[in-house]
Amino acid sequence: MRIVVTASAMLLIMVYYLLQYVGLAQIKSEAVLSSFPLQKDLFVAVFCVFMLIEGVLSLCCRREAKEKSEADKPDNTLNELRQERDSFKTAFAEAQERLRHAEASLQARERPQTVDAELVNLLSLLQEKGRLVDFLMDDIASYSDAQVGAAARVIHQGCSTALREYFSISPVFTGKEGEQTELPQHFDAKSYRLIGSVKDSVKEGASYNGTVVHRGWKTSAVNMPRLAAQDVQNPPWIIAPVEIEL
Amino acid sequence: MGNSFCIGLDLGTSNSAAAVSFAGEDEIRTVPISQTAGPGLLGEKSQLASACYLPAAHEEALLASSLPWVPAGEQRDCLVGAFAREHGALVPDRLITSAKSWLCNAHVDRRAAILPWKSEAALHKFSPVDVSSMILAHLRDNLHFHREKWGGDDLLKEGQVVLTVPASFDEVARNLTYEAAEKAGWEHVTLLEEPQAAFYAWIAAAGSEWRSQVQPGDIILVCDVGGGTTDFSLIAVSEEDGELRLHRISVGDHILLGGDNMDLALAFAVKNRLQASGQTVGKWQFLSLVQLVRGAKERLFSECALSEVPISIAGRGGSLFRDTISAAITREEAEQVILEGFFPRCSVLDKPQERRAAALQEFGLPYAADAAITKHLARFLTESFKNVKSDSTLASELGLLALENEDTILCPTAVLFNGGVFKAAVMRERILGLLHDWSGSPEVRELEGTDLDLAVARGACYYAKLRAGGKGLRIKAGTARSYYVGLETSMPAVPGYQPPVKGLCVVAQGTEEGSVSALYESEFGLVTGQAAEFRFFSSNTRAGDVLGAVVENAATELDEMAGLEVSIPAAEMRPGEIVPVRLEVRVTEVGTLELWLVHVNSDLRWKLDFNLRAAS
Repeated sequence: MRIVVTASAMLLIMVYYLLQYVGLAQIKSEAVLSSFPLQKDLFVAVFCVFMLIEGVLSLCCRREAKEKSEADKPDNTLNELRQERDSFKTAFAEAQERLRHAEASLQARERPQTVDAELVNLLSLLQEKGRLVDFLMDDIASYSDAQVGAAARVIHQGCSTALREYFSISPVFTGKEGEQTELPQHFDAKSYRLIGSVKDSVKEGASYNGTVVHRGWKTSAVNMPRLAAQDVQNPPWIIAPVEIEL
Repeated sequence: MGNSFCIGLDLGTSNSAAAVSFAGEDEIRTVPISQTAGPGLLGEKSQLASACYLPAAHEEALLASSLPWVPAGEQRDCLVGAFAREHGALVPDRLITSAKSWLCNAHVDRRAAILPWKSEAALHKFSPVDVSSMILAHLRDNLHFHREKWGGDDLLKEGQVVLTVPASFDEVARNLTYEAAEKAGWEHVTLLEEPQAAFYAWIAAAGSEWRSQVQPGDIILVCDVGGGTTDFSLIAVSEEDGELRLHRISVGDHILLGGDNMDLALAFAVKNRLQASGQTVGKWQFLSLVQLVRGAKERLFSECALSEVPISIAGRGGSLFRDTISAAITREEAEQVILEGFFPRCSVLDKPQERRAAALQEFGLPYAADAAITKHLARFLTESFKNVKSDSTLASELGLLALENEDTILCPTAVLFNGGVFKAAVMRERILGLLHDWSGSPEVRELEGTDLDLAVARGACYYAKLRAGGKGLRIKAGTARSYYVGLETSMPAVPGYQPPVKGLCVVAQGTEEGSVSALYESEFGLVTGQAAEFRFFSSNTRAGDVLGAVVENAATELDEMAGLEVSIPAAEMRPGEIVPVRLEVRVTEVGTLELWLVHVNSDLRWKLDFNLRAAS
């Protein structure tokens, strides 16, 4: 902007003097010529004003540019801070990673104990409700079928009640055993087990046909009494305590 | 969110339950109750066994840890729930059961630490009020612990809480139940009779359909046989301005007889049979026998094709094969013992056998002397007739004015069953059949569709919603009994003759909650600095008595309750001065009874307290 204004002012003045110099001014009327000294002074004044404005503008611009260049100049303290932050970030990520590792390995070592305690808890409940451990730990060979049968009923009375209380058990296959059934090629391998002649290559879209030998069981919920957190002690776990009558 | 939660509490003799709902929603949800399931084990059940076990010194560390709301390191005085009952059966001197029945036992001080009854094992005992309070506190802690599930912190502070009591509970037992609830931290509790709660549960279950299942003129019997108690109520259906009206017109006596008695009776029968055949059933084996016959009974009564259920009773020792006794419970035996023993066919005129006075000397729980529930029912219906007949307004409402015969029964047209006992269809059929025979009417209907175990809690919750919402049909009930203060008759002394005590009616039957009545005609003179005692009576067969009515011979015509006592501190008056007072009776909003003596010439007033110390 500034350059355009200055240049055009200079150009105007130069053209004017040039015109005078080549004598083109002679074609101008007397009136114009008589006012020439006045016009000459006006042009000089305009020129001076332009130069003044130009000077002021260039001064301003120089200051602005100086300020700008000062801001652009890299600050050493800030950079140091940034570097410090970045190094901390890296260290933190590393520490987090190590923490995760430590926790995982700790859990891996602790988990079996909780799981084992829960398993013993189930055994303990089945013993309490249905004498399962008594039944299995006794020597079955030395008793008659009638005695074994009577004992089996004890198990069934107690354990079936407990089982129904703790789990919601129903058959996986809702039809009857011996029924023919068809499985799609991509069946749920956890819910079905194929036995007999199971061929390797089955055409895309083909299905498996077979007879249901066992209907399977599933539980839709687990409602086991939970161990209080502080009760996961070390082995030996007590399945049933010694009973002493006072 | 004032009053946005509605909670129903069923404090049962053998099992307790809770139900919760929001004021704006229809669904009523029963609350799973976390409870100790074994040493260091926590489990959830839909009901809380109303049993308290007092752990021995060596057990405390073992039993303190399992409840999630008990902070680590803290211990509760006793253990509540199913495990408490199971484990307590093996250590019976440390087990408290049926605390609720003790609440209405007038022969003992119900605030005194007397339970476990006659036990020398427990150093620290508890009062019936304490035990009820501990059960209610467990329900409260459980609800608070699971509060996120129900959506808020202020559940217990802001909600409407309805607690059920047997219809047969007298005012003393009701007041004590309320006291136990307050002690357990429940605020703003309202009391509701259990049979009414069962009826509300039926309305809630039937939805808008219920109005088509009953008609004006119906009299509905609510027949509630719980684990330890039997409770009867009659609800009349009438029509007013095209709207159905429900009116609870009669309640029965408190009968300590229930499903647990039936299991015990059958277990004893099996034990005797086994012992007659030379097998011995030890005391520990008898415990498992009781559990086994319960299961066998339920199967026999629900599966018609079964003729017998074999059971095996294990010994306490480790060898199952060696120590197990086999037996079978046959259908005949179960029907003989339970159906004929507890629900025998009988005539309307049959009265249950009364306990002889001598039997009271032991002051245990006053178990019913006659196990025949049907005979208790016959007596209830006879007395209900008497009750309705004594009130001409009520009698004309029910169209009974013309009947003159004293021995007539007030026969229901429909029956709502409640309690686990009635899961067996044979019991329901027996009752319906008998009612049919007694009334001669073509049909006595059964109102179906409630959960027999949880109906009371659900119905209480429904009633809490009615109270919170302020609309919906409520059963017109009021006080179940009328109450009387004893007045000495002034007559010349005759040696060897006790002047009869008159009963002055201070609360008429059916007095609504929130009413205050002053007896202007009764003025007493009280001596300051001295304790004054009043004899207090009640009746559930005198609906006709109005406030101020006088019964000539209170001792024979009314049931005597715990006495009332008051003492005016000498500091308030000059000692020895005779202060003129009159009686003011309040039936509070929550459903408890308060009696006050008001100074005739000033604003001074003194509350009469029930004297719960043993009458002996």
